[in-house]
Amino acid sequence: MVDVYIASDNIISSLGITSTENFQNCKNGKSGIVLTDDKKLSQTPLYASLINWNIINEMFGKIADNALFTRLERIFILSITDALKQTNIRVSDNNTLLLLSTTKGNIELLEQNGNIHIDKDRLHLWKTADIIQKYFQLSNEPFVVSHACVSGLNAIILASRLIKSKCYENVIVSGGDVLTEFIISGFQSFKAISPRPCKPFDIAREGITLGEGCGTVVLTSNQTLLKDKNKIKILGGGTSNDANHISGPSRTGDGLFYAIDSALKEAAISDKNEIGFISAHGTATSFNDEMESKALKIAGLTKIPVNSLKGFFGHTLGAAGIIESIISIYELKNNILIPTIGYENHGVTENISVIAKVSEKKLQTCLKTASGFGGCNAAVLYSK
Amino acid sequence: MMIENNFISNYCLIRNNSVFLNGETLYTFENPLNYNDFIKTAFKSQQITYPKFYKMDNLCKLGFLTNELLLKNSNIREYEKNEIAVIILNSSSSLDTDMNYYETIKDKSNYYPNPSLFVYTLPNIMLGEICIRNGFKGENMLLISQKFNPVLLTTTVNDLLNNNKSKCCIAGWVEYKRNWEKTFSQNPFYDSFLCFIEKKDKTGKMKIEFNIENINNLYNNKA
Repeated sequence: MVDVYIASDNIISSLGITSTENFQNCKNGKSGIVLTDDKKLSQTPLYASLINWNIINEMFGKIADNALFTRLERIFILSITDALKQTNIRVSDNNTLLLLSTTKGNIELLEQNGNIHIDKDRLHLWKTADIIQKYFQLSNEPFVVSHACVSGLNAIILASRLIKSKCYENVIVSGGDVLTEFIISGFQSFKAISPRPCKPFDIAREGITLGEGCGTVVLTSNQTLLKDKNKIKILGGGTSNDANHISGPSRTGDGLFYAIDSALKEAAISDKNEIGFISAHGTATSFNDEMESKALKIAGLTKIPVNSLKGFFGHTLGAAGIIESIISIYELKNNILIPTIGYENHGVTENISVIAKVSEKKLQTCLKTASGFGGCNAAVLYSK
Repeated sequence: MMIENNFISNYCLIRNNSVFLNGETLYTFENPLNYNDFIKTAFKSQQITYPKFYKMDNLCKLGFLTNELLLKNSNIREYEKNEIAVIILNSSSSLDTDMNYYETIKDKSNYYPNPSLFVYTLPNIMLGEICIRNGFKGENMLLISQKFNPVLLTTTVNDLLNNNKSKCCIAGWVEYKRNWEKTFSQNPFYDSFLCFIEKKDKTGKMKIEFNIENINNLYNNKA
């Protein structure tokens, strides 16, 4: 039996350029959501969680030429560089794989005023992965998970399975998306964007707040690569489909329940009280949050403390599952529950236990879930 | 872990104005049709009543029809809905629809973004369409690789079946690529190959083991 551990991690978001900095800001209740009137993103003012690109470009300029890489490629490279710095894995070994997760990749290259140095071929997600692979001189062909809002969790699940079946010893899983007019206009056309910073699980929630970022986890079966005394292990994971609607979640929550149940069975968790907390998807759309409350009810998890991190980072799309997993892992390591920013008055049918304030709790195991367009769901269990 | 053998009980290929099911040519159109006419003609010939088909984008139509044919004479109804996995790989993601959607937002004086188009800018919507049609609630994964990748495909599917995450799996490659040089060319490249894979050979009829060599042969239509 092979166990899969998280050897190192990084988050680049509106709240900082390392996991520690991001976690510290969450702990202090600081949200990265701001009001922007950048006309390149939206014709009307918009709340969003945006990366400080001046800092990114300055950092990236020290290691490579900004003009030769897209914004997304820059944060992938910086995030992976920081994560690799914390481990001793030799990336050139043929037992290491790169797995990216993204929803729209370099979609901004469609815009004619894009970077003239960059070939439009890099609109292909595999090409983006190829660029990152070449930068790090990895020896295996990389792959990309592009599965809407569950992309990040699906990538972690796939990576963990590839390690368990001994295809690779290490997998670098990196998820990222940058905000573009393409993405924002689409969510606006759905009337899914909140006019205020999002309010997950709240009675007054009005939709999502979008965000951009990148999260990286280095997964390994090699325990000698682990430096932290709190060894974080992936206990199990599952994915599912609602088989209900391409752009709306299930009304019953059964799809998400199947993903959670699959993860619980793999982890052989019979006493649900072993789960210290749940990091939900919590996009703050009316239907999503309602569906999640129902899935948690079916799974018998309504008494377990639950948070949504969307009030800190916004919905970071292909990065969300990874960024939110990393924050969850830091909650485990530090025995701290991070609250749901924006949540004030309970607004979903089932009486789930939404975390409203930072608190201390002795933690061993947590559940991370996600759901998205196409009726997709994913769930992963982490423990220390 | 004991390595178990999994079997391909049905497979379907759609490419180049032709449809092949389990190695037999189901039909081939001599006169080259454009993709739209071809896929609609092939769909109509199956006498399937499913109006949603016409609302799908090019990629989803391709994956959906391949799956319809694949499962036509299969024993998939014997499985529980949450035991059925769908794993699809492709190279060009949803770029065809991405370009169509971009046309709706690039001109600010003619700005008409539409949610029913935007939703198809995600390649996994194809899995959603297949799952909605059939009620499948099991494992789902949409992966991108440059080319048809039998190693990734067999590894991912065998792992699901051998660890009892799923009892059976629809898996393969569904690629729809617009001609890049001429943005609105009538000659896209389409290439779809789906297999129905079961943990054991229930009927005793299908003898094709689900492995890299067999997958390669079937994909290349050499079986």
